[in-house]
Amino acid sequence: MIGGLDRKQQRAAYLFIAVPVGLLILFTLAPVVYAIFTSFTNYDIINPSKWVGLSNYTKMWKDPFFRLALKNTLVYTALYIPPGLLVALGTALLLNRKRHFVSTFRVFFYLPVVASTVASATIWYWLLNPQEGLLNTVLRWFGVNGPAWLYDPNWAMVAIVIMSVWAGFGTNMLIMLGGLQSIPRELYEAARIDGASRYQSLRHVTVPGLQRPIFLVTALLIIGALQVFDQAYILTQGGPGNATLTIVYYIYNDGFLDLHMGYASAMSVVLFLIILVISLANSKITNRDLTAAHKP
Amino acid sequence: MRRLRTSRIVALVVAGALAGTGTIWGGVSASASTASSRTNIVMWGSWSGGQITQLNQELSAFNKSQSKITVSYQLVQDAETKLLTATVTGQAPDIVLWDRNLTAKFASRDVLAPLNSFIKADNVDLSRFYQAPLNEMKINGTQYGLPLITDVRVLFYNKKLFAAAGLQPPTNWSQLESDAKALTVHNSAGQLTQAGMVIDPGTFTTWIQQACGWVLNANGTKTAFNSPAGETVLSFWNKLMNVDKVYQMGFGQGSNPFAEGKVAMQYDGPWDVQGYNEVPGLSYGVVQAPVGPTGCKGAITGGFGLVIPKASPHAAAAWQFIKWITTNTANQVAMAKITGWVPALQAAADTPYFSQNPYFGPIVKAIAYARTRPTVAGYADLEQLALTPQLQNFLAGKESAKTALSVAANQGNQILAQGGAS
Amino acid sequence: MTTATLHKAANAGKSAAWYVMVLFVSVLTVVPFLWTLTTSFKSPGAILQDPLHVLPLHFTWSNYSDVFSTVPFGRDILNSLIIAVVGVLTNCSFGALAGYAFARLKFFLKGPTFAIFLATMMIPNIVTMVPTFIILHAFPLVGGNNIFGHGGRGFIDSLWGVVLPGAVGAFAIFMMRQFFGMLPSVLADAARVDGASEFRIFRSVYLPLVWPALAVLAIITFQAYWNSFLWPLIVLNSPNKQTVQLGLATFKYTYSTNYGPLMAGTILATIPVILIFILAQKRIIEGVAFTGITS
Repeated sequence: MIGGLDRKQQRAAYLFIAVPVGLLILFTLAPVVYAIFTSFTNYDIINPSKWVGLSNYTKMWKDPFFRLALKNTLVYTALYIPPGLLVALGTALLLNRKRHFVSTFRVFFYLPVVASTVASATIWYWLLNPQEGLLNTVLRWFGVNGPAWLYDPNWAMVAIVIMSVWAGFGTNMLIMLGGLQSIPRELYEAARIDGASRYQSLRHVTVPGLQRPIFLVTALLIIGALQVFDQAYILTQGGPGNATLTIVYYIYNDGFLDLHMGYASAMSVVLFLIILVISLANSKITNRDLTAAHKP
Repeated sequence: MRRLRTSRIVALVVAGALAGTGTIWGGVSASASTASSRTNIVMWGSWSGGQITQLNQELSAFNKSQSKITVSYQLVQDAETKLLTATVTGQAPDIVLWDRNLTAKFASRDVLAPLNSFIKADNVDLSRFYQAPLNEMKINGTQYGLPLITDVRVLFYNKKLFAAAGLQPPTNWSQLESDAKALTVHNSAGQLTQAGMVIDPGTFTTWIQQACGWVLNANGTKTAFNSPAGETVLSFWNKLMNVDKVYQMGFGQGSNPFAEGKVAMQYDGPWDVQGYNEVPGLSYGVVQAPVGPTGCKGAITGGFGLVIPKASPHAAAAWQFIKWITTNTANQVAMAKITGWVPALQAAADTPYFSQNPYFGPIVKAIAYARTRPTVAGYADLEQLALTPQLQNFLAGKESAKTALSVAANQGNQILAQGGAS
Repeated sequence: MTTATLHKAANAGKSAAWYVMVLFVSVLTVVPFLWTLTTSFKSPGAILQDPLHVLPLHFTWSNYSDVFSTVPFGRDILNSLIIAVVGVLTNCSFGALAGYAFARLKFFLKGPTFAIFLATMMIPNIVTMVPTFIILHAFPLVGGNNIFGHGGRGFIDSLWGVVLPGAVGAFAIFMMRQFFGMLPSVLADAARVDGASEFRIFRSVYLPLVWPALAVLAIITFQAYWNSFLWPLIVLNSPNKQTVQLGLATFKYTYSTNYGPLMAGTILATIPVILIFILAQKRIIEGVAFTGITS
C-alpha cells in the first residue's frame, strides 16, 4: 500500500506546515515581494512611488560607498566565522559535563547574549580604550604597543569581530550543546570499550555526530555575519574612516534616515543574492544540501 | 479521529485567555477626540524622565489658560521613524517636538503643514526669534515650524585645573594652544593621563568658521571646505595632536573624562550640564568658542522646534499651542528653565536669568553669530559618509590633510549632486 | 604509585584545568553584568565621576525607584513577557511540527518550500519592515478594520502585531529540521507498521528525543523576542503597551545617557531571561537517554 502511505504522509505533512506557511506568505513573502518591487521605484515611504526601472541598480554599481560597505562586510564575515564556530564548539564541549556548578557556568557563558547593548558597548569601549584599556595594558606587558582599536581604521573591524564573537557565542554554544546531548551515549561506550582515547573519541564520535548542528551553526553564522548591523551601529557608527561601514548599516541609513527606500530595497536584493550564493557554496563545500530530504 | 495536538491546545488556551484581557490584544482604544467641546491634540516628543513632569506643568498651564484646546504629551522614542509609519497610515500626531534639523527632510516631502498663513493671520513677528534657529525650519521660503529652545556648542573648561596652573580660559586659538599645552599631562610611561583639549572631528563645522570658512558654498550646491580655511583647521589640529600632544584619539572613551577631571577643555553643550552638576568635586566653567587666527568667530547652534504634520486634522488648534509657547516671553523662559537650554526668543534669552548666568551667558552671546548645520538635502550623508570619515583618517595619521580634504570634497560633491534626486 | 592513585591525580589535574578554563571564560562574560549591577547602585554623579570603580562608595536604591517612576516599567515587563511567552509557544510547537515534516516526511514541493523559508532569512528585515507594517495595519476584521482592511488600525499598537511576523520563524524550522534529521527512520517505520498516525509518530516517538533542542530553541526564541527593539518601536504606540527594551531606551537621550536608571532597569529586565534559561537548562542537562536501536 505504498501509494496510500505516501498520501497519508503528504496530508500529515501539509497539515504540519500549514500554519507556518500561512504566516510566511502573509507576513514574510508578501513584504519581500513588495520590497523587490520597490527596488525598481523611488519609494520614500511617504509619497507614492514612481517606477524607475533599473536606475537604482546602476546607481549601486557606481556607488563607492556601496562597494566599500560590501568589502567591509565580506572582511567581517571571513574574520568572524572561524572563531565564531570554534568558540561555540569549544565552550559547548567544555560545558557538556557533569561537574559541580556546570549549570551555573552555563548561565555565565550565556550572559553576553542577554546583556544590554549599552552595558556591553560601555565595557568594550573601556576594554578597547587605546590609553588605559585592558587589552592594550596587557599587550604592553608583552612589550607590544597596541593599536588605537576603535579609532584606527586598520584595526576597528578586528575589534568589532572580537566583540561580536563575545556577544554571540552563547546562542551557538547552546545549539552545539543540544547537539552534543543528542549523540547517543552508546556510541561513546562502544568507543571506550574499543580503547579509544579522549581525542579519538572526539574525532570519530563527537564531530561526525555534530555534523548537522555544525552545519546549522555555520549556515546561521554566514547569514548573520553578512547582515551585521548592531555592532557597527552601536560601537563605531560605521567609522573610523568608514572602516566598519557594513551593508546593512548603509541600507538602514539610506532607507530609514535618508528615505531612499527604493535604493535600499535594491541593495537588499543584491545582498540577498550574495548571501544566497555564499550559503550555497557553503553547503556544497560541506557536502550537505541545504534542502536535502533526509535519506532513511 | 485526530486528537488535538497538546501543544496547540496550550497555545490556543493561552491566546484565548489573553484575548479575554481585551484591550491588550488589538482592542479598540479611544485615542480620537471624545465628544466634548474641547479639541484634544497630541504632541509627540522624546523628552523623558523628570522633564515630562515639568513639561506637563507647562501643558496644563496652556490648557487652563483657554477653554477650547487640550494638549497632551506622548513620549515617543524616535519620533522621526514613527512619523514615517504614522504618515503612511494617516495617524500622525498634531505636533512633533524634535531636532529642528530634521524639519527639512520631511518638509521637502510634503509631510509637514506650512505655517505661513497662520503666522500672517496672527501677525507673528518672526524677527523676535534668533534668526539662525528660525531659518533652520524654513525651507524654500516657507516656514514649517517655530524654534522652541536653542543650544550652542561652547567651550567647557575645568576651573580647578586652570586655577592650579594660574591660567585664564582662552579667547583665541593661540591662547587655546598654550593653555592646552600647559594643562596636558603624560605619565612616566608616556601615556596621556590628562588631555589639554579634546579634538572631535564632529566639531569641524565650528572650527572652520573660526578659520573664516564654511563647509558649503553660498547656495549649498558644492562643498567649500577644501580650501585654505579647511587646511588651516587641519594643520592646527595636527599641531595640537602630534606636536603639542594635547590629545589622543579615543582618550577616555567608555566614560566621560571631563566629568572625571581628566580633560581641561572641550566643546560641549547643555545635554551634559545636569550630569556635570551632580558630579561631586567637578568645578567647570563655560566660555564662548575661541576666535580664529584672523579674528573670525564661529559656533554651531542646534536645538528643538515644533512642527505640525500635514495629516493632523487639528492644525489650527496645534498652531494655537505653538504660538503660545514660542512667542510668549514668560512661557519661553519657563520652557528653557525646564530643559537647561536657552530660549529661541531673543527677548526671553535676554532676561537676566540667562544673560547674566555664568553658564548661559556665553551661550546667549554666541547665538548671535552661530550658524546651524546646513539643511540642504544630502548634507547629513555628506558629513557622515564623506567628511567625518576622512577627518578621522587624518587624525589617525592615515592621510595627509590635502588628501583628506580633497577626497571628502569629491565624495561630498557627488552626494550633494544626487541629494534631492531620489 | 598505584594506577589508582595515578588515575586520581590525572583526574584531579584534568579537573583543575577544566576549572581554570571555565573560570577564565566566565570572567570575560560576567564582567559587563557585574558592571551593570554595581552601576545600578551608584548615584548619577558617582557614575560620571568614577564609572569603572567596582564598588559603589555610596550605595543607593534611587536608580531602581527612578526606573519605576519614569516609565510604567512593571507594565513594560508584563507586555514583554506576554509577547515572549506566546512567541516561544508558537515557535516551539509549530516549529517542531514543520521541522519534523521537512526532516522526516515525504511530500510534494518539500525542497522548494524549505528553500523559500531559508531564503527569507537572507533578506535584511529593514526593507521588509515598512511593507509588513502596512500589511499589519490593513489586516481585515482586526483592530477596527472592515473586511477590506480600512477604518481601523489592524494589528498596529497591539501585542499581536509584535508576535505575529515572527510567530513561526524560519530559524525555528531550520533548527528543528536539523535535529529531527539526526534521528533514525527505523522508529517511524516500526510505528507505521503498528498503524500509528503520523501525528502520533511525531508526538510520541520523535518529539521526546529532541527535548534538548526544543529547550534550546525556547531559550533562543525567548531571548530574541525579549531583546527586540526596532520592530516593537515601530508597531507599538500606546504607553501601556510598551516593551521592556522600549522602556529602557527612554533613558538614552540624544546626546547623553542616564546610566543609573538604565542599568537598574537592565538588571530587572535581565532577570526573566536568566530565569527562563535556568528552567530550560534542566532539560539540557538531563537530556534524554537515547536508548538506541541495535539492529
